[in-house]
Amino acid sequence: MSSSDRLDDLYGQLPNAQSPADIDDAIRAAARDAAAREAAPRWSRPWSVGLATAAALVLAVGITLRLPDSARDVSPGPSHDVAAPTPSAGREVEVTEAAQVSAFAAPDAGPPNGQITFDAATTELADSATARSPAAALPERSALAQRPEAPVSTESLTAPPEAEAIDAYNADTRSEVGDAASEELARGAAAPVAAPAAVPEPLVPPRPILQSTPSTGEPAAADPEIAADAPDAPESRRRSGLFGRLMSSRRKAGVQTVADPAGSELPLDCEPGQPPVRAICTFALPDMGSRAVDTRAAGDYRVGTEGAPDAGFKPAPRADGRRQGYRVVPVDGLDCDDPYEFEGPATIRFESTLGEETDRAATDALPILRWRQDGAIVALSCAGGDWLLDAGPALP
Amino acid sequence: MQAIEADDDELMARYVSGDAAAFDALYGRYKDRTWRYFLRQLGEERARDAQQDAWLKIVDRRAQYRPQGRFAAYLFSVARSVLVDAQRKTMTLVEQTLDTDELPAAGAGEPRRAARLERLAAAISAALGRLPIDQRDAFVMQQEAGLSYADIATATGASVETVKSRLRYARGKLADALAQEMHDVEF
Repeated sequence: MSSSDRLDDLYGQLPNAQSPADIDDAIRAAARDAAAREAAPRWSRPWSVGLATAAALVLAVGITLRLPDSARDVSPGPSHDVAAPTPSAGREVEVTEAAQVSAFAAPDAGPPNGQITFDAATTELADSATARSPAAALPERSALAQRPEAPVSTESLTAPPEAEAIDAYNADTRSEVGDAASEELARGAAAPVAAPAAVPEPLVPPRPILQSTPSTGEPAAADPEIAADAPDAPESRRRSGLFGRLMSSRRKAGVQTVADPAGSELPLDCEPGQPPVRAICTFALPDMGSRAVDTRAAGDYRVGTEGAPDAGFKPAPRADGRRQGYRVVPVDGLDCDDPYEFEGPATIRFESTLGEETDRAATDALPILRWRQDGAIVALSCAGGDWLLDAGPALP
Repeated sequence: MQAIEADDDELMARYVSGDAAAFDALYGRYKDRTWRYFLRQLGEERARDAQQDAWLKIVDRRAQYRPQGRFAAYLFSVARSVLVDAQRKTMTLVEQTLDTDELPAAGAGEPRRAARLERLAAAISAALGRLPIDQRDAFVMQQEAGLSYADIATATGASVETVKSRLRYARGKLADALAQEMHDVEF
Protein backbone atom coordinates (compact mmCIF):
# COMPACT_ATOMS: atom_id res chain seq x y z
CA MET A 1 0.00 0.00 0.00
CA SER A 2 1.47 3.35 -1.00
CA SER A 3 1.85 6.16 1.49
CA SER A 4 -0.87 8.08 -0.34
CA ASP A 5 -3.31 5.17 -0.05
CA ARG A 6 -2.33 4.71 3.56
CA LEU A 7 -3.02 8.37 4.22
CA ASP A 8 -6.46 8.06 2.66
CA ASP A 9 -7.08 4.99 4.74
CA LEU A 10 -6.05 6.70 7.97
CA TYR A 11 -7.97 9.85 7.17
CA GLY A 12 -11.00 7.76 6.33
CA GLN A 13 -10.94 6.33 9.84
CA LEU A 14 -11.73 9.72 11.29
CA PRO A 15 -15.37 10.13 12.24
CA ASN A 16 -17.59 12.07 9.89
CA ALA A 17 -18.62 15.08 11.91
CA GLN A 18 -22.07 16.40 11.18
CA SER A 19 -23.28 19.95 11.12
CA PRO A 20 -24.88 20.91 14.46
CA ALA A 21 -28.64 20.68 14.43
CA ASP A 22 -29.19 24.18 15.83
CA ILE A 23 -27.07 25.68 13.08
CA ASP A 24 -28.99 23.66 10.51
CA ASP A 25 -32.29 24.90 11.87
CA ALA A 26 -31.15 28.51 11.89
CA ILE A 27 -29.83 28.40 8.34
CA ARG A 28 -32.93 26.65 7.04
CA ALA A 29 -35.16 29.18 8.78
CA ALA A 30 -33.21 32.05 7.30
CA ALA A 31 -33.47 30.47 3.86
CA ARG A 32 -37.20 30.00 4.25
CA ASP A 33 -37.63 33.61 5.31
CA ALA A 34 -35.67 34.79 2.32
CA ALA A 35 -37.72 32.61 -0.01
CA ALA A 36 -40.96 33.82 1.55
CA ARG A 37 -39.97 37.42 1.02
CA GLU A 38 -39.11 36.62 -2.57
CA ALA A 39 -42.42 34.92 -3.18
CA ALA A 40 -44.51 37.50 -1.34
CA PRO A 41 -46.66 39.66 -3.63
CA ARG A 42 -45.57 43.21 -4.01
CA TRP A 43 -48.86 44.35 -2.50
CA SER A 44 -48.72 42.40 0.71
CA ARG A 45 -51.65 44.43 2.11
CA PRO A 46 -54.60 43.83 -0.19
CA TRP A 47 -56.60 46.70 1.23
CA SER A 48 -53.97 49.16 0.11
CA VAL A 49 -54.93 48.53 -3.52
CA GLY A 50 -58.52 49.46 -2.84
CA LEU A 51 -57.51 52.48 -0.84
CA ALA A 52 -55.25 53.74 -3.59
CA THR A 53 -57.98 53.22 -6.18
CA ALA A 54 -60.52 55.07 -4.06
CA ALA A 55 -58.15 57.95 -3.50
CA ALA A 56 -57.50 58.20 -7.21
CA LEU A 57 -61.22 58.25 -7.95
CA VAL A 58 -61.88 60.96 -5.39
CA LEU A 59 -59.13 63.09 -6.86
CA ALA A 60 -60.41 62.54 -10.37
CA VAL A 61 -63.98 63.45 -9.46
CA GLY A 62 -62.87 66.47 -7.50
CA ILE A 63 -60.85 67.82 -10.38
CA THR A 64 -63.64 67.16 -12.84
CA LEU A 65 -66.16 69.01 -10.69
CA ARG A 66 -63.82 71.91 -10.13
CA LEU A 67 -63.05 72.57 -13.78
CA PRO A 68 -66.33 74.49 -14.59
CA ASP A 69 -65.86 76.64 -11.50
CA SER A 70 -62.44 77.61 -12.65
CA ALA A 71 -63.77 78.50 -16.05
CA ARG A 72 -66.32 80.80 -14.50
CA ASP A 73 -63.67 82.41 -12.31
CA VAL A 74 -61.45 83.36 -15.22
CA SER A 75 -64.19 84.50 -17.61
CA PRO A 76 -64.94 88.27 -17.83
CA GLY A 77 -67.76 89.24 -15.50
CA PRO A 78 -70.82 90.83 -17.14
CA SER A 79 -71.74 92.97 -14.15
CA HIS A 80 -69.83 96.07 -13.12
CA ASP A 81 -69.98 95.09 -9.48
CA VAL A 82 -68.10 91.93 -10.12
CA ALA A 83 -64.47 92.65 -10.45
CA ALA A 84 -62.68 90.94 -13.25
CA PRO A 85 -60.01 88.62 -12.06
CA THR A 86 -56.55 89.94 -12.31
CA PRO A 87 -54.10 88.20 -14.58
CA SER A 88 -52.10 87.17 -11.61
CA ALA A 89 -55.13 85.54 -10.02
CA GLY A 90 -55.82 83.65 -13.23
CA ARG A 91 -52.29 82.37 -13.34
CA GLU A 92 -52.60 81.25 -9.77
CA VAL A 93 -55.68 79.20 -10.58
CA GLU A 94 -54.04 77.68 -13.61
CA VAL A 95 -50.94 76.83 -11.74
CA THR A 96 -52.86 75.28 -8.88
CA GLU A 97 -54.91 73.15 -11.22
CA ALA A 98 -51.92 72.17 -13.21
CA ALA A 99 -50.21 71.12 -10.05
CA GLN A 100 -53.18 69.05 -8.99
CA VAL A 101 -53.51 67.34 -12.34
CA SER A 102 -49.83 66.76 -12.45
CA ALA A 103 -49.82 65.34 -8.96
CA PHE A 104 -52.63 63.00 -9.87
CA ALA A 105 -51.86 61.95 -13.39
CA ALA A 106 -48.21 62.40 -14.08
CA PRO A 107 -46.10 59.36 -13.42
CA ASP A 108 -42.85 59.74 -11.64
CA ALA A 109 -40.68 60.61 -14.55
CA GLY A 110 -37.50 60.53 -12.48
CA PRO A 111 -34.55 62.74 -13.00
CA PRO A 112 -33.83 64.17 -16.41
CA ASN A 113 -31.68 62.44 -18.96
CA GLY A 114 -32.59 59.03 -17.66
CA GLN A 115 -30.28 59.31 -14.71
CA ILE A 116 -31.24 57.30 -11.71
CA THR A 117 -30.83 58.87 -8.34
CA PHE A 118 -31.10 57.37 -4.91
CA ASP A 119 -33.20 59.55 -2.67
CA ALA A 120 -33.96 59.33 1.00
CA ALA A 121 -36.83 56.92 0.47
CA THR A 122 -34.60 54.58 -1.46
CA THR A 123 -32.07 54.73 1.31
CA GLU A 124 -34.77 53.89 3.81
CA LEU A 125 -35.84 50.92 1.77
CA ALA A 126 -32.27 49.73 1.56
CA ASP A 127 -31.88 50.17 5.29
CA SER A 128 -35.02 48.23 6.01
CA ALA A 129 -33.88 45.47 3.68
CA THR A 130 -30.65 45.32 5.58
CA ALA A 131 -32.49 45.14 8.84
CA ARG A 132 -34.51 42.19 7.56
CA SER A 133 -31.43 40.24 6.59
CA PRO A 134 -31.61 36.57 7.55
CA ALA A 135 -28.42 37.03 9.49
CA ALA A 136 -30.41 38.83 12.14
CA ALA A 137 -32.35 35.66 12.89
CA LEU A 138 -29.36 33.48 13.58
CA PRO A 139 -28.28 32.57 17.07
CA GLU A 140 -24.90 32.37 18.74
CA ARG A 141 -23.05 34.57 16.36
CA SER A 142 -20.07 36.54 17.45
CA ALA A 143 -20.39 40.29 17.30
CA LEU A 144 -17.82 40.40 14.56
CA ALA A 145 -19.75 37.95 12.45
CA GLN A 146 -23.07 39.72 12.87
CA ARG A 147 -22.65 41.93 9.88
CA PRO A 148 -26.05 42.25 8.25
CA GLU A 149 -26.02 41.98 4.53
CA ALA A 150 -28.92 43.13 2.45
CA PRO A 151 -29.97 40.62 -0.19
CA VAL A 152 -29.31 42.61 -3.32
CA SER A 153 -29.83 41.26 -6.77
CA THR A 154 -27.46 42.91 -9.15
CA GLU A 155 -29.49 41.51 -12.00
CA SER A 156 -32.41 43.75 -11.23
CA LEU A 157 -30.81 46.79 -9.68
CA THR A 158 -28.95 49.52 -11.37
CA ALA A 159 -25.70 50.26 -9.68
CA PRO A 160 -25.80 53.26 -7.36
CA PRO A 161 -23.59 56.22 -8.03
CA GLU A 162 -19.95 55.41 -7.64
CA ALA A 163 -19.49 57.53 -4.53
CA GLU A 164 -22.30 55.71 -2.75
CA ALA A 165 -20.98 52.34 -3.79
CA ILE A 166 -17.57 53.23 -2.50
CA ASP A 167 -18.98 54.54 0.75
CA ALA A 168 -20.94 51.35 1.23
CA TYR A 169 -17.92 49.27 0.45
CA ASN A 170 -15.80 51.33 2.78
CA ALA A 171 -18.15 50.62 5.61
CA ASP A 172 -18.14 46.95 4.73
CA THR A 173 -14.41 46.77 4.42
CA ARG A 174 -13.90 48.59 7.67
CA SER A 175 -15.78 45.89 9.51
CA GLU A 176 -13.74 43.13 7.96
CA VAL A 177 -10.23 44.35 8.21
CA GLY A 178 -8.28 42.53 10.84
CA ASP A 179 -6.71 43.97 13.92
CA ALA A 180 -3.20 43.95 12.59
CA ALA A 181 -4.26 46.01 9.64
CA SER A 182 -5.92 48.60 11.82
CA GLU A 183 -2.74 50.38 12.61
CA GLU A 184 -1.81 50.61 8.97
CA LEU A 185 -5.31 51.71 8.12
CA ALA A 186 -5.21 54.35 10.81
CA ARG A 187 -1.99 55.67 9.37
CA GLY A 188 -3.61 55.74 5.98
CA ALA A 189 -6.64 57.56 7.30
CA ALA A 190 -4.45 60.12 8.96
CA ALA A 191 -2.30 60.65 5.91
CA PRO A 192 -3.48 63.13 3.34
CA VAL A 193 -5.11 61.52 0.36
CA ALA A 194 -3.14 62.39 -2.69
CA ALA A 195 -5.70 61.80 -5.37
CA PRO A 196 -9.43 61.20 -5.64
CA ALA A 197 -10.62 57.63 -6.06
CA ALA A 198 -10.81 56.02 -9.48
CA VAL A 199 -8.67 58.64 -11.18
CA PRO A 200 -5.31 56.99 -11.66
CA GLU A 201 -2.50 59.03 -13.06
CA PRO A 202 -1.62 58.50 -16.69
CA LEU A 203 0.79 55.62 -16.97
CA VAL A 204 2.96 57.27 -19.58
CA PRO A 205 1.94 60.88 -19.96
CA PRO A 206 3.12 61.43 -23.56
CA ARG A 207 0.96 58.56 -24.77
CA PRO A 208 -2.66 59.54 -24.51
CA ILE A 209 -3.78 55.99 -25.12
CA LEU A 210 -2.43 54.96 -21.75
CA GLN A 211 -4.41 57.49 -19.83
CA SER A 212 -7.26 56.09 -17.87
CA THR A 213 -10.60 57.71 -18.29
CA PRO A 214 -11.39 59.93 -15.36
CA SER A 215 -14.74 59.64 -13.73
CA THR A 216 -16.50 62.75 -14.94
CA GLY A 217 -20.02 61.93 -13.86
CA GLU A 218 -21.21 62.62 -17.39
CA PRO A 219 -23.34 60.12 -19.29
CA ALA A 220 -21.82 58.02 -22.02
CA ALA A 221 -22.88 60.19 -24.88
CA ALA A 222 -20.81 63.01 -23.47
CA ASP A 223 -17.66 60.99 -24.10
CA PRO A 224 -17.13 60.76 -27.84
CA GLU A 225 -14.16 58.41 -27.43
CA ILE A 226 -16.23 55.87 -25.57
CA ALA A 227 -19.21 56.32 -27.81
CA ALA A 228 -17.04 55.64 -30.81
CA ASP A 229 -15.35 52.68 -29.20
CA ALA A 230 -18.40 50.76 -28.13
CA PRO A 231 -19.70 49.56 -31.51
CA ASP A 232 -16.25 48.34 -32.50
CA ALA A 233 -15.71 46.32 -29.34
CA PRO A 234 -14.84 42.66 -29.93
CA GLU A 235 -17.58 40.13 -29.46
CA SER A 236 -15.94 38.70 -26.37
CA ARG A 237 -16.12 42.12 -24.77
CA ARG A 238 -19.71 42.66 -25.70
CA ARG A 239 -20.78 39.30 -24.37
CA SER A 240 -19.61 40.14 -20.88
CA GLY A 241 -22.52 41.50 -18.90
CA LEU A 242 -20.62 43.98 -16.81
CA PHE A 243 -18.44 45.00 -19.69
CA GLY A 244 -21.48 45.60 -21.81
CA ARG A 245 -22.80 47.93 -19.18
CA LEU A 246 -19.45 49.63 -18.84
CA MET A 247 -19.19 50.17 -22.54
CA SER A 248 -22.75 51.42 -22.78
CA SER A 249 -22.25 53.90 -19.97
CA ARG A 250 -18.71 54.93 -19.38
CA ARG A 251 -15.44 53.37 -18.51
CA LYS A 252 -15.33 53.71 -14.80
CA ALA A 253 -14.21 50.23 -13.96
CA GLY A 254 -12.20 47.36 -15.28
CA VAL A 255 -9.27 47.50 -17.61
CA GLN A 256 -9.14 50.98 -19.03
CA THR A 257 -6.55 50.62 -21.71
CA VAL A 258 -4.13 48.03 -22.92
CA ALA A 259 -1.34 49.05 -25.20
CA ASP A 260 1.95 47.72 -26.40
CA PRO A 261 5.13 49.61 -25.54
CA ALA A 262 4.85 51.53 -28.79
CA GLY A 263 1.49 52.89 -27.74
CA SER A 264 -0.72 50.89 -30.07
CA GLU A 265 -3.92 49.78 -28.45
CA LEU A 266 -4.41 46.08 -27.92
CA PRO A 267 -7.60 44.10 -27.38
CA LEU A 268 -8.67 43.92 -23.80
CA ASP A 269 -9.12 40.17 -23.97
CA CYS A 270 -6.59 37.74 -22.73
CA GLU A 271 -6.89 34.20 -23.97
CA PRO A 272 -4.80 31.49 -22.39
CA GLY A 273 -2.22 30.27 -24.84
CA GLN A 274 -2.02 33.34 -26.99
CA PRO A 275 1.50 34.37 -28.01
CA PRO A 276 3.38 36.37 -25.40
CA VAL A 277 2.83 40.08 -25.70
CA ARG A 278 4.35 42.69 -23.50
CA ALA A 279 1.78 45.31 -22.88
CA ILE A 280 0.89 48.15 -20.60
CA CYS A 281 -2.45 48.41 -18.96
CA THR A 282 -4.31 50.78 -16.74
CA PHE A 283 -6.88 49.29 -14.50
CA ALA A 284 -9.51 50.68 -12.21
CA LEU A 285 -12.38 49.45 -10.14
CA PRO A 286 -14.82 51.70 -8.34
CA ASP A 287 -14.03 50.09 -5.04
CA MET A 288 -10.31 50.19 -5.57
CA GLY A 289 -10.02 53.79 -6.49
CA SER A 290 -6.50 54.96 -6.10
CA ARG A 291 -5.84 53.35 -2.78
CA ALA A 292 -5.48 49.83 -1.58
CA VAL A 293 -5.53 47.88 1.59
CA ASP A 294 -2.90 45.33 2.29
CA THR A 295 -3.99 43.35 5.29
CA ARG A 296 -1.13 40.91 4.95
CA ALA A 297 -3.06 38.23 6.71
CA ALA A 298 -3.22 34.55 6.06
CA GLY A 299 -1.22 34.90 2.89
CA ASP A 300 -3.78 36.92 1.01
CA TYR A 301 -4.38 40.55 0.21
CA ARG A 302 -7.57 42.52 0.15
CA VAL A 303 -8.00 45.54 -2.00
CA GLY A 304 -10.32 48.31 -1.04
CA THR A 305 -10.63 52.03 -0.72
CA GLU A 306 -9.41 52.08 2.83
CA GLY A 307 -5.85 52.44 3.82
CA ALA A 308 -2.80 54.41 3.08
CA PRO A 309 -2.26 55.54 -0.47
CA ASP A 310 0.43 53.65 -2.24
CA ALA A 311 0.02 50.75 0.14
CA GLY A 312 -0.84 47.94 -2.16
CA PHE A 313 0.90 45.48 -4.33
CA LYS A 314 4.45 46.37 -3.54
CA PRO A 315 6.21 43.12 -2.91
CA ALA A 316 8.75 43.14 -0.15
CA PRO A 317 12.33 42.79 -1.32
CA ARG A 318 13.63 39.33 -0.88
CA ALA A 319 17.15 38.42 0.04
CA ASP A 320 17.07 35.16 -1.86
CA GLY A 321 16.27 36.88 -5.13
CA ARG A 322 13.11 34.91 -5.70
CA ARG A 323 10.29 36.72 -7.35
CA GLN A 324 7.23 37.30 -5.32
CA GLY A 325 3.84 37.58 -6.87
CA TYR A 326 0.24 37.54 -5.95
CA ARG A 327 -2.34 35.48 -7.64
CA VAL A 328 -5.56 37.32 -8.22
CA VAL A 329 -8.29 35.33 -6.61
CA PRO A 330 -11.75 36.68 -7.28
CA VAL A 331 -14.06 35.70 -4.51
CA ASP A 332 -17.75 35.12 -4.06
CA GLY A 333 -18.06 32.83 -7.02
CA LEU A 334 -16.74 35.18 -9.62
CA ASP A 335 -15.33 33.27 -12.51
CA CYS A 336 -11.66 33.74 -13.18
CA ASP A 337 -12.13 32.85 -16.81
CA ASP A 338 -13.51 36.29 -17.48
CA PRO A 339 -11.22 38.58 -15.61
CA TYR A 340 -13.29 41.64 -16.31
CA GLU A 341 -16.52 40.40 -14.83
CA PHE A 342 -16.42 42.08 -11.49
CA GLU A 343 -19.70 43.23 -10.07
CA GLY A 344 -20.04 46.60 -8.45
CA PRO A 345 -17.92 47.08 -5.38
CA ALA A 346 -16.15 43.80 -5.78
CA THR A 347 -13.44 42.34 -3.68
CA ILE A 348 -10.34 40.84 -5.17
CA ARG A 349 -8.00 38.75 -3.14
CA PHE A 350 -4.35 38.45 -3.87
CA GLU A 351 -2.89 35.18 -2.92
CA SER A 352 0.82 34.99 -2.43
CA THR A 353 2.40 32.83 -5.05
CA LEU A 354 5.58 32.38 -3.16
CA GLY A 355 6.12 28.71 -2.73
CA GLU A 356 7.01 25.67 -4.62
CA GLU A 357 3.57 25.11 -6.07
CA THR A 358 3.68 28.09 -8.38
CA ASP A 359 4.58 27.03 -11.87
CA ARG A 360 6.78 29.92 -12.84
CA ALA A 361 7.80 28.52 -16.19
CA ALA A 362 4.22 28.30 -17.32
CA THR A 363 3.17 31.70 -16.12
CA ASP A 364 6.22 33.54 -17.35
CA ALA A 365 5.63 32.40 -20.90
CA LEU A 366 2.18 33.92 -21.00
CA PRO A 367 1.23 37.49 -21.82
CA ILE A 368 2.09 40.07 -19.27
CA LEU A 369 0.04 43.15 -18.78
CA ARG A 370 1.36 45.91 -16.67
CA TRP A 371 -0.89 47.41 -14.09
CA ARG A 372 -0.27 50.72 -12.49
CA GLN A 373 -1.79 51.04 -9.08
CA ASP A 374 -0.86 53.79 -6.69
CA GLY A 375 2.48 54.28 -8.26
CA ALA A 376 3.46 50.64 -7.97
CA ILE A 377 4.10 49.08 -11.33
CA VAL A 378 3.05 45.52 -11.40
CA ALA A 379 2.25 43.06 -14.09
CA LEU A 380 -0.73 40.91 -14.83
CA SER A 381 -0.03 37.58 -16.36
CA CYS A 382 -2.66 35.40 -17.88
CA ALA A 383 -2.21 31.89 -16.60
CA GLY A 384 -4.81 29.34 -17.47
CA GLY A 385 -7.59 31.86 -17.33
CA ASP A 386 -6.29 33.40 -14.12
CA TRP A 387 -4.64 36.72 -13.87
CA LEU A 388 -1.37 36.54 -12.07
CA LEU A 389 -0.24 39.78 -10.54
CA ASP A 390 3.47 39.94 -10.53
CA ALA A 391 6.19 42.40 -9.74
CA GLY A 392 8.05 43.36 -12.84
CA PRO A 393 10.85 45.67 -13.80
CA ALA A 394 10.11 49.35 -13.82
CA LEU A 395 8.79 50.80 -17.01
CA PRO A 396 11.14 53.06 -18.93
CA MET B 1 -38.71 13.03 -3.65
CA GLN B 2 -38.46 15.40 -6.56
CA ALA B 3 -36.10 17.59 -4.63
CA ILE B 4 -33.88 14.66 -3.82
CA GLU B 5 -33.53 13.60 -7.43
CA ALA B 6 -33.03 17.07 -8.86
CA ASP B 7 -29.51 18.21 -9.59
CA ASP B 8 -27.92 21.09 -7.74
CA ASP B 9 -28.59 23.67 -10.40
CA GLU B 10 -32.24 22.72 -10.60
CA LEU B 11 -32.59 22.95 -6.84
CA MET B 12 -30.91 26.32 -6.81
CA ALA B 13 -33.16 27.57 -9.59
CA ARG B 14 -36.21 26.40 -7.69
CA TYR B 15 -34.98 28.06 -4.56
CA VAL B 16 -34.40 31.31 -6.38
CA SER B 17 -38.00 31.15 -7.52
CA GLY B 18 -39.15 30.81 -3.93
CA ASP B 19 -39.16 27.05 -3.25
CA ALA B 20 -37.72 26.73 0.24
CA ALA B 21 -37.91 22.94 0.11
CA ALA B 22 -35.40 22.99 -2.71
CA PHE B 23 -32.95 24.77 -0.45
CA ASP B 24 -33.53 22.21 2.27
CA ALA B 25 -32.59 19.45 -0.14
CA LEU B 26 -29.53 21.32 -1.35
CA TYR B 27 -28.46 22.13 2.17
CA GLY B 28 -28.90 18.53 3.18
CA ARG B 29 -26.51 17.47 0.47
CA TYR B 30 -23.68 19.76 1.39
CA LYS B 31 -24.10 20.86 4.99
CA ASP B 32 -21.87 18.20 6.49
CA ARG B 33 -19.19 18.72 3.87
CA THR B 34 -18.98 22.45 4.51
CA TRP B 35 -19.14 21.81 8.24
CA ARG B 36 -16.17 19.47 8.18
CA TYR B 37 -14.33 21.86 5.87
CA PHE B 38 -14.65 24.59 8.49
CA LEU B 39 -14.26 22.30 11.47
CA ARG B 40 -10.94 20.86 10.30
CA GLN B 41 -9.48 24.31 9.79
CA LEU B 42 -11.14 26.56 12.33
CA GLY B 43 -12.18 24.47 15.25
CA GLU B 44 -15.74 23.98 16.36
CA GLU B 45 -16.55 27.38 17.81
CA ARG B 46 -15.49 29.39 14.80
CA ALA B 47 -16.77 26.74 12.44
CA ARG B 48 -20.26 27.45 13.72
CA ASP B 49 -20.02 31.08 12.68
CA ALA B 50 -18.36 30.20 9.42
CA GLN B 51 -21.00 27.65 8.54
CA GLN B 52 -23.69 30.25 9.04
CA ASP B 53 -21.82 32.94 7.18
CA ALA B 54 -21.16 30.76 4.16
CA TRP B 55 -24.69 29.50 3.79
CA LEU B 56 -26.19 32.91 4.38
CA LYS B 57 -24.09 34.23 1.56
CA ILE B 58 -25.50 31.50 -0.63
CA VAL B 59 -28.98 32.56 0.45
CA ASP B 60 -28.39 36.27 0.04
CA ARG B 61 -26.73 35.96 -3.34
CA ARG B 62 -28.94 33.25 -4.73
CA ALA B 63 -30.06 35.42 -7.62
CA GLN B 64 -26.46 35.87 -8.74
CA TYR B 65 -25.75 32.18 -9.08
CA ARG B 66 -25.11 31.17 -12.64
CA PRO B 67 -26.07 27.54 -13.21
CA GLN B 68 -23.16 25.78 -14.81
CA GLY B 69 -23.49 22.39 -13.21
CA ARG B 70 -20.81 23.22 -10.66
CA PHE B 71 -22.65 24.27 -7.57
CA ALA B 72 -20.13 22.53 -5.32
CA ALA B 73 -17.33 24.64 -6.74
CA TYR B 74 -19.40 27.77 -6.23
CA LEU B 75 -20.32 26.78 -2.70
CA PHE B 76 -16.74 26.11 -1.70
CA SER B 77 -15.46 29.28 -3.29
CA VAL B 78 -17.84 31.11 -0.97
CA ALA B 79 -16.82 28.85 1.91
CA ARG B 80 -13.18 29.56 1.23
CA SER B 81 -13.72 33.30 1.30
CA VAL B 82 -15.49 32.92 4.63
CA LEU B 83 -12.67 30.74 5.91
CA VAL B 84 -10.01 33.25 4.97
CA ASP B 85 -12.02 36.06 6.51
CA ALA B 86 -12.35 34.09 9.72
CA GLN B 87 -8.64 33.45 9.81
CA ARG B 88 -7.92 37.08 9.09
CA LYS B 89 -10.05 38.22 11.98
CA THR B 90 -7.83 36.52 14.47
CA MET B 91 -4.70 37.06 12.41
CA THR B 92 -3.50 33.65 13.38
CA LEU B 93 -3.71 30.31 11.79
CA VAL B 94 -5.34 28.22 14.38
CA GLU B 95 -4.31 24.66 14.34
CA GLN B 96 -7.02 22.43 13.13
CA THR B 97 -8.63 20.76 16.03
CA LEU B 98 -10.46 17.56 16.05
CA ASP B 99 -12.64 17.08 19.03
CA THR B 100 -11.89 13.69 20.40
CA ASP B 101 -15.42 13.58 21.74
CA GLU B 102 -16.46 12.90 18.16
CA LEU B 103 -14.62 9.66 18.18
CA PRO B 104 -16.83 6.63 18.36
CA ALA B 105 -17.14 5.20 21.82
CA ALA B 106 -14.84 2.31 22.35
CA GLY B 107 -16.32 -1.03 23.09
CA ALA B 108 -15.19 -3.00 26.06
CA GLY B 109 -12.96 -5.14 23.94
CA GLU B 110 -11.29 -2.50 21.85
CA PRO B 111 -9.53 -0.03 24.09
CA ARG B 112 -6.48 -0.21 21.89
CA ARG B 113 -8.45 0.82 18.83
CA ALA B 114 -10.00 3.77 20.63
CA ALA B 115 -6.64 4.91 21.85
CA ARG B 116 -5.22 4.54 18.39
CA LEU B 117 -8.03 6.56 16.85
CA GLU B 118 -7.57 9.29 19.39
CA ARG B 119 -3.89 9.38 18.67
CA LEU B 120 -4.55 9.38 14.96
CA ALA B 121 -6.97 12.29 15.27
CA ALA B 122 -4.47 14.31 17.24
CA ALA B 123 -1.71 13.53 14.77
CA ILE B 124 -3.79 14.51 11.76
CA SER B 125 -4.93 17.64 13.54
CA ALA B 126 -1.38 18.70 14.23
CA ALA B 127 -0.15 17.80 10.77
CA LEU B 128 -2.96 19.67 9.05
CA GLY B 129 -2.30 22.71 11.17
CA ARG B 130 1.29 22.82 10.00
CA LEU B 131 0.40 22.76 6.30
CA PRO B 132 0.40 26.00 4.31
CA ILE B 133 -3.13 27.25 4.01
CA ASP B 134 -3.42 26.61 0.29
CA GLN B 135 -2.27 23.04 0.60
CA ARG B 136 -4.47 22.39 3.60
CA ASP B 137 -7.40 24.02 1.86
CA ALA B 138 -7.03 21.85 -1.21
CA PHE B 139 -6.53 18.72 0.85
CA VAL B 140 -9.58 19.30 3.04
CA MET B 141 -11.70 20.18 0.03
CA GLN B 142 -10.72 16.92 -1.57
CA GLN B 143 -11.01 14.74 1.51
CA GLU B 144 -13.99 16.25 3.25
CA ALA B 145 -15.98 17.70 0.38
CA GLY B 146 -15.01 15.22 -2.29
CA LEU B 147 -14.38 17.97 -4.80
CA SER B 148 -12.69 17.18 -8.08
CA TYR B 149 -9.46 18.86 -9.16
CA ALA B 150 -11.45 21.15 -11.44
CA ASP B 151 -13.88 22.13 -8.71
CA ILE B 152 -11.07 22.79 -6.25
CA ALA B 153 -9.39 24.90 -8.88
CA THR B 154 -12.54 26.91 -9.41
CA ALA B 155 -13.17 27.28 -5.71
CA THR B 156 -9.66 28.45 -4.97
CA GLY B 157 -9.06 30.48 -8.10
CA ALA B 158 -6.06 28.41 -9.07
CA SER B 159 -5.30 26.33 -12.09
CA VAL B 160 -5.87 22.60 -12.07
CA GLU B 161 -2.14 21.99 -12.30
CA THR B 162 -1.56 24.18 -9.28
CA VAL B 163 -4.21 22.27 -7.36
CA LYS B 164 -2.57 18.97 -8.25
CA SER B 165 0.74 20.34 -7.12
CA ARG B 166 -0.69 21.58 -3.83
CA LEU B 167 -2.34 18.25 -3.17
CA ARG B 168 0.84 16.39 -3.95
CA TYR B 169 2.81 18.49 -1.49
CA ALA B 170 0.07 18.33 1.10
CA ARG B 171 -0.19 14.56 0.95
CA GLY B 172 3.54 14.14 1.12
CA LYS B 173 3.89 16.39 4.13
CA LEU B 174 0.96 14.79 5.89
CA ALA B 175 2.31 11.33 5.28
CA ASP B 176 5.70 12.36 6.64
CA ALA B 177 4.16 14.03 9.66
CA LEU B 178 1.95 11.08 10.45
CA ALA B 179 4.83 8.67 10.04
CA GLN B 180 6.77 10.59 12.64
CA GLU B 181 3.84 10.95 14.97
CA MET B 182 2.70 7.37 14.70
CA HIS B 183 5.70 5.08 14.59
CA ASP B 184 3.55 2.00 14.39
CA VAL B 185 1.89 3.16 11.17
CA GLU B 186 3.59 2.20 7.95
CA PHE B 187 3.94 4.76 5.18
